[in-house]
Amino acid sequence: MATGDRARRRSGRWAAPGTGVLVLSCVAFLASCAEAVESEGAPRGQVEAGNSIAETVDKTAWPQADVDSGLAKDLKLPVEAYLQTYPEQVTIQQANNTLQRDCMGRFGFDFAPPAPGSHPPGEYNSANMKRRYGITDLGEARQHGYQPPEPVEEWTPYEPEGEVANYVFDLTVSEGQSAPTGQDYQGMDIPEGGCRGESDRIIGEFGDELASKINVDTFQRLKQDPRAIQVNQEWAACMQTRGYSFTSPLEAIDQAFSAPADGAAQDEISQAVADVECKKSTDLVNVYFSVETEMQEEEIGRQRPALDEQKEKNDQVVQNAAAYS
Amino acid sequence: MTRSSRTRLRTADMADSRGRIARTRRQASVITLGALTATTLGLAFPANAWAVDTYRSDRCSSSGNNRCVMLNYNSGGNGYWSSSCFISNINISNYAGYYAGDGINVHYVFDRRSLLYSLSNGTSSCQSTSGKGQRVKNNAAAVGNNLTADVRVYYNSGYSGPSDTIGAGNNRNLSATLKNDNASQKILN
Repeated sequence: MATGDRARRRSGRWAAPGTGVLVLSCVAFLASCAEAVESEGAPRGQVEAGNSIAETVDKTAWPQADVDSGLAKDLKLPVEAYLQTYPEQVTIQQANNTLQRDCMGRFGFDFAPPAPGSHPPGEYNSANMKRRYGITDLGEARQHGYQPPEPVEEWTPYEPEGEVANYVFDLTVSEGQSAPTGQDYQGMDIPEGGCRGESDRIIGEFGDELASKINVDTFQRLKQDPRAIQVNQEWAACMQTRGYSFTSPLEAIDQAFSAPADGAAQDEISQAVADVECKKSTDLVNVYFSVETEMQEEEIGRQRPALDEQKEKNDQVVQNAAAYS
Repeated sequence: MTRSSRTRLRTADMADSRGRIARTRRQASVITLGALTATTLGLAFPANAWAVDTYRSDRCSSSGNNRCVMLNYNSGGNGYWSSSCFISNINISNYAGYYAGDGINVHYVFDRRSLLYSLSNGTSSCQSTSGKGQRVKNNAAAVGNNLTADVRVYYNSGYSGPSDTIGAGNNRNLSATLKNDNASQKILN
């Protein structure tokens, strides 16, 4: 069983501590603002308004913009120009954290999430190019089988502590409970949508739904394209000579995550190696990629004004957020 | 149910985290014995005469289910999503579920709960029986993310295929127009 499926409770690990904490409320534009945060088990560190991400996060673990190895090396789909990138995501999260901390502080609550950027995905954006068509890297297949090479770690995102704090943060009410307070608390009106609503209004909201639709749509249409069906048959025939029976690489990776697993067992590795080698000999990745590229160029061409408008708005949101880094 | 299969289920209870197997125990009516083929439920496991199916709709460890990702069975819009849901706050390599050992298959399904989230595009509610008991894999139409981190829903198992990224505090329909294809998820920060 993949380790990601075992939920391991970490109560309070990222929760704001009760005692012994020095928190200096900080207005975002003061460059000299510093905050010392101590929480149970969390790395201790100075979080300065001007340098917070760089000091506490390992950026070398971040996904790169270009696929750097394997059969998908340097492939980039047209829709990727419109999809949110991981660095953009982190910038926006950091700004929201800062604003939300200030807002929560007004109401008397600690709010101290860790700096974003320490739980990166393996991919730069939602196109997921390297694993889009299943596994594509022979070196990784030899070492990890179908498992992602980056550690799929178990961690629990930060939570505000306490009923009222959760409500003031974003109007969250526990299952089966009712709101713990009315529209105001400590003599102040709770912002619409809570502190999260407030930070969203200040920064703006990044929205790439149009691009996301294209990203998913061409992938689903690809499966029915005669060229993909043809190369699948060639790949399946190749796999057959190696002793494996699958109709497509997507079926193969799905099966790999359906069986009970103890890490990457040797038979999973053998299958993964065959999978990638057969993709190479049939040129499957390039065939899939060219079909999707064609489809995306056509869809993007039709929707360019709306896509460009959405991109312009998104760039502004990222710019707004960057002011808080 | 024979004594020995009841004993096996209890073993799984102790092996799992608090509270959750109690819910599946209540669903005793759907636990079946005997030859369960792997293909019926998309899970493969060693041939086992004591194969047992259990069902979970909750993989969220957050107290009060405050901070979870809510997958809804039905799509929505105009500020409102309401249907049975699956909640979680972990990475999931296959929305079909997992093999818990001892011949026990755990299947992820939607269920009704007294839970709703106020999110960026409106309310995501689980207070409906629509889709209750349906499998989660390739069956979710919408996502409401009440975590303080982003979640990525992949269109293939094992974090492969393209994905939909739903930011912290956001909710929307999944992008698929041809068919539902949610297969795995990862939480990012």
